Amino acid sequence: MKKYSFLMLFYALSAHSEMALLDDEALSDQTGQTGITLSARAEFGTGTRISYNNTDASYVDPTEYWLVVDELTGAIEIKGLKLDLINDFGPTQNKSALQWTMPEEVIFDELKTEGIYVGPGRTVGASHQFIMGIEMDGELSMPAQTKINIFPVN
Amino acid sequence: MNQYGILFFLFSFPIPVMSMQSLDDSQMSEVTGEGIGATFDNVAIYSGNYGMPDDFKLKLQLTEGVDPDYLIFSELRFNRSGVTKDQLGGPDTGGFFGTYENPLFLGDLREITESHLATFTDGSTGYKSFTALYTGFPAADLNQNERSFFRFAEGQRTYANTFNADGNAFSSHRDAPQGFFNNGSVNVGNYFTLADTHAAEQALFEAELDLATSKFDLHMRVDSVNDSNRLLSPDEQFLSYVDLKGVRLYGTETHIWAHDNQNETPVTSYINGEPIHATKGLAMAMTTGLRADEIILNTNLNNAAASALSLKGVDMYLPLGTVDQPLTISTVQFQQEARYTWGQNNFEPAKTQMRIEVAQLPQDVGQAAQGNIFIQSLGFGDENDEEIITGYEDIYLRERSGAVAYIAPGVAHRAFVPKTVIYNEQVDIFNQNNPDNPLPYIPNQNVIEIRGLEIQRMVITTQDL
Repeated sequence: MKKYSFLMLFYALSAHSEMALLDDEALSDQTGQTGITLSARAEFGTGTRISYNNTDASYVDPTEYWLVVDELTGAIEIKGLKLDLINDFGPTQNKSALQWTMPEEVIFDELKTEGIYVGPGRTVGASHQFIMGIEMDGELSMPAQTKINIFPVN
Repeated sequence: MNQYGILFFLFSFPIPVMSMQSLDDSQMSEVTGEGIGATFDNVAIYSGNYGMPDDFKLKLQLTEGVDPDYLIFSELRFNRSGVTKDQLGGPDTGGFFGTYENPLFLGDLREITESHLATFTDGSTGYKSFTALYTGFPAADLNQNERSFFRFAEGQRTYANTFNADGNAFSSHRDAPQGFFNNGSVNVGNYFTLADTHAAEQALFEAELDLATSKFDLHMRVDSVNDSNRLLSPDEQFLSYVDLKGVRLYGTETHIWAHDNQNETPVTSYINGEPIHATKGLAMAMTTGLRADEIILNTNLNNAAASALSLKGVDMYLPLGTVDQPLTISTVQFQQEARYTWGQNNFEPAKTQMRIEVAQLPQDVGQAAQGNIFIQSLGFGDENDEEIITGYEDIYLRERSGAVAYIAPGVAHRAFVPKTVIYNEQVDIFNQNNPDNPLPYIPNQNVIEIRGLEIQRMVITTQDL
């Protein structure tokens, strides 16, 4: 279970965001197809923050430090992300895989963080160290119908 | 702080945001050898030109305050190598990355063990082990090839390569035979035979890589915003175009674990009075192998050839951290000297700073992991620029026997381009015009070979500017 915790984090991130309603036209895209087709927009309101720390390693500096992605705002929108289970994968076309077909475009609407900080505490204070800020804005298109196949490996 | 911010950004990519701790034996047996594989088909990403409605910008804010400095990355295009300008943004531009047999490998927990024999506080000795999260890129098990023909030929020296069947010595060449670039026949000995063997080895490497991933092209524009150009137009903030052509990764893998000293008695805790922190914290061992046909930086907004710096035939294999010498990330309470008073012992109160560190290699390990960089040729500006051309000479193209088969007259020789590269360019032209009677290529030399790169010790501590 532990190894999948990063997936849980992904879901946790989703929980921070606000899911916008789809209109009828977009909703009609979601039905009557194999697998799932998703179009979604996640908007991040003021006060959204991601804080992380790792207490399991041992450190010389006893201060418990946090990595904080502070004041996440803006939105990200995807159009036409498809998820399917396939069973004709692999060299002999008999393996199963979870197949994601990437959206034709991903729209970043001033998705930004005020700053990424390191410091003692999950909220940014005077002792936190500014590392950098990040902002993404505009469209990224994936015109070739990019597919990602995910499968277990032994 | 800015430069460390970028370093942090780069180092942070492979770190899954999860809590890591050592597993006991029973837990290890349940998880080792399992993981998630991922393959990527039809991979292509496109965004429009800077300032156009379909553009995309990634802004990195480097400083805090009212008027921060920015680096802006835009015009991000990633597609199968060889896609033409007219095809960009179209459906037939994708390449593949990973296959079922050779996928991107995620989420495998592996036990890694130091080769350093530790002495613990209770007097016992042993080798410390850790549970690491392994990530392997396609072709992660592919090792770097010997790109130097000189070194390759040296390694091929055997009796058969030095003496003929009668036991008589013949010329065994590690470079072009003497007189090879002059007119007249030369004794080429086993030069072409060894060249073929070397070329076959390189071709095998590329063929194995072909099975794991396509070659990709990456394009981006970089702008810099600071006090000197903040109020100027985007054109005035332009820094460079970056183009990687025919690029792919090999031998690339990462181990991440929570490092601790497991009650080892430290041989020393200080170097030059500075405490060593690298025995603790979030630890990483990364190896990156990168092959690229060409890397181009162009500082002209209109992509003028005169403003391009080009690196051709790039092969970089760079380890950063090992289980014996991990790259650790932790925090320290650091007293920095006040700006503009350096050297005056004017220290500010201690603040939390991030530290990226590679500890010194334990003496009993002996040899740190080494990296190599090969660059076949460099191009500065327009290759037809008279300032780049160092002279004009005839090129004597040879058959396998060593006899001259064709003279290419007055060929331009360029700075930082080995003669062997110029020669092979002419062979290429000849063979295109004479497909039924091709001439052999010769091994290319490299204009840059950096061997045995290793980190003895590294400490990066962030500071406030």
